[in-house]
Amino acid sequence: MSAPTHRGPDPHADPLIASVIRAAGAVTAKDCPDAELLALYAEHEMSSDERGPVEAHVAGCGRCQATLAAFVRSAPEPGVPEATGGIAAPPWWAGWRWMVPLASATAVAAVAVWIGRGPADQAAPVADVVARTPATVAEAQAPGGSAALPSDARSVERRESAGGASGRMQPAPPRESRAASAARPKENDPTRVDERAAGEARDALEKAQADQFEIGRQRVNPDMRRDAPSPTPAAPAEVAEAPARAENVAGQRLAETATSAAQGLVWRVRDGIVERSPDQGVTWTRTASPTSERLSAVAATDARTAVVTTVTGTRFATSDGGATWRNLP
Amino acid sequence: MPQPPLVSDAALDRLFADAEAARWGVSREAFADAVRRAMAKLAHTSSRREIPDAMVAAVHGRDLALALACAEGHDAAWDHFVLTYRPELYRAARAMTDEATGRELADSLYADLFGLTEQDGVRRSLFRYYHGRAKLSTWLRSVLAQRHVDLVRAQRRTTSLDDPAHPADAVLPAPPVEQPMRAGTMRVAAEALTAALVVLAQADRGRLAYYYAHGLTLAQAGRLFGESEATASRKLERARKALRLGIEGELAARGLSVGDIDDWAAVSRQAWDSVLMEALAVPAPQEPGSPPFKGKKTS
Repeated sequence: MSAPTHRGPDPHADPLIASVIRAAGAVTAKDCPDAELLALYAEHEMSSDERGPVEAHVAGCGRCQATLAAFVRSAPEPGVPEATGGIAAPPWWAGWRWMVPLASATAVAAVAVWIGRGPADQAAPVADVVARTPATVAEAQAPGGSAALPSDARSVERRESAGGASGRMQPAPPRESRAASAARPKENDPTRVDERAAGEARDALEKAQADQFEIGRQRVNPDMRRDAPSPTPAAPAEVAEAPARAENVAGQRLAETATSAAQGLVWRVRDGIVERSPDQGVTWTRTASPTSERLSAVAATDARTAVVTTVTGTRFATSDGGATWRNLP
Repeated sequence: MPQPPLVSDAALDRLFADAEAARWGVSREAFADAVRRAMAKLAHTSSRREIPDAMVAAVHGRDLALALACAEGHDAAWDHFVLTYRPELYRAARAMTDEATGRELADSLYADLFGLTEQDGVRRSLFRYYHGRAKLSTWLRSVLAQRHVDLVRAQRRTTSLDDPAHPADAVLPAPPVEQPMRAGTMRVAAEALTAALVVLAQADRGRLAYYYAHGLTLAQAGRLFGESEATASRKLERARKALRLGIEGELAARGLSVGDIDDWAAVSRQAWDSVLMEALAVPAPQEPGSPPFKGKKTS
């Protein structure tokens, strides 16, 4: 049945019911649990020893009930990560992004050699490339490829510990199958890479590195300097100004780390889907997909804003954590 | 005087290292003191003095380090705090109230977190009440919720009696003397309601209050009890039936039945009206038809 909509005062009933409700919630503020206890209670993060007294209090306290109700109502949407106090470390793969153009150039060189040979000679280099390239590319493109992605927290720890004190993974030597090793051309083999193919590979590599540098350069806001003065905690007016300056600090961090990881949130694209991880790749939450096309790149500027690019070059942007996307011209 | 809790140095060292507190210039001693204060509150409720290492490890060290640094006025820490938490705080404040009031609420919280007031020449930041047991973001939301509720309650206490927009908690005039019988009926009804509520289980009272008085959805109310929406719905229905039976029992004890109360709809206009309406299966006042409760018996 529907609830009544009439809310006019009733001189008979109102004083009585108001007194009932007030009596039920007549607890002074000094008796109430502090905000941290209420938060622990609401999040079910306290022991039963602690929970009992808080529960008994809340059952008869209108103020705490209202506080908990407001607390629950203001909870972030599922899938949106909460802020954390620490600065999120860059993902382990972030330092090896330069491997992407390098791997691409290697592949170009290998294909060039392959094309320039007779059919009888093609099998050996292909086996070599197949043995070498996937591992390298997968390591470098971990956010977009499932092969090198950690499937659980332990694998992340293993990968991070492998990087030593820096927390980043060192590049593993390329794996080489026995067949590929046997088929690999020797130093004095007349079928080894010719000078023209090697030159093309070098050109491709230099172009890719130049592009990468250009992208990185464009991301750095000239106003975001390391030596920018930080706010001095002195006057109330400065409190309001603090956010803007703090964003400059973020800009530095954005430029230093990676555009696919921002504010502790890692974005990745995989085939036609976009996913986000609040915990360095341990768990992933899929967002709405902007397109059915295959996605090739993602650049995030904060926890809610990102741009993805399809293999055909179409770009889509979101400013609400991936709930909705708009096509960029 | 209670003994301070015993926290192992090894556990403190591990937490300190994990928290990367040195990044914000927080000393090991200051950090350890803060952890011991948090453990002291915990030990107070559990009556044990030795704190297991697992409990120390459960402290949100990074959040605590950030809060300590912010309380001390560390510029970079404050910058990081504002950058990381401001959007979430504004969003939470807006979810509690409207856009303008929410922003004002969040800004006032920032001022207190920053520590605009001084005591004995020392800045007093609200961060000193954070102990690292809850996540910093969760604690902030809880503080925000408490402030919002206190603000609303304070506004209600100061609302003019002539303000037609806020009749809820206003002191209402005494019942007109020309209807003494009706006033008496209302008093009996309220007594029955009070008595029925008292005997309800704590959790059931909470369910009814969150759902009807505080306007939470079933999913939200269920979250507070660690229940799914379906379970919350089922238990709310059970609580509603229990309340209905309780009211009928109380009325019977006074020699009345539900059918004797002709004007339950009027009773239920205020405050917990929906509870009464639904518990007693009363047709809504706007629905035309026979007077409420006539011919309606308990199921």
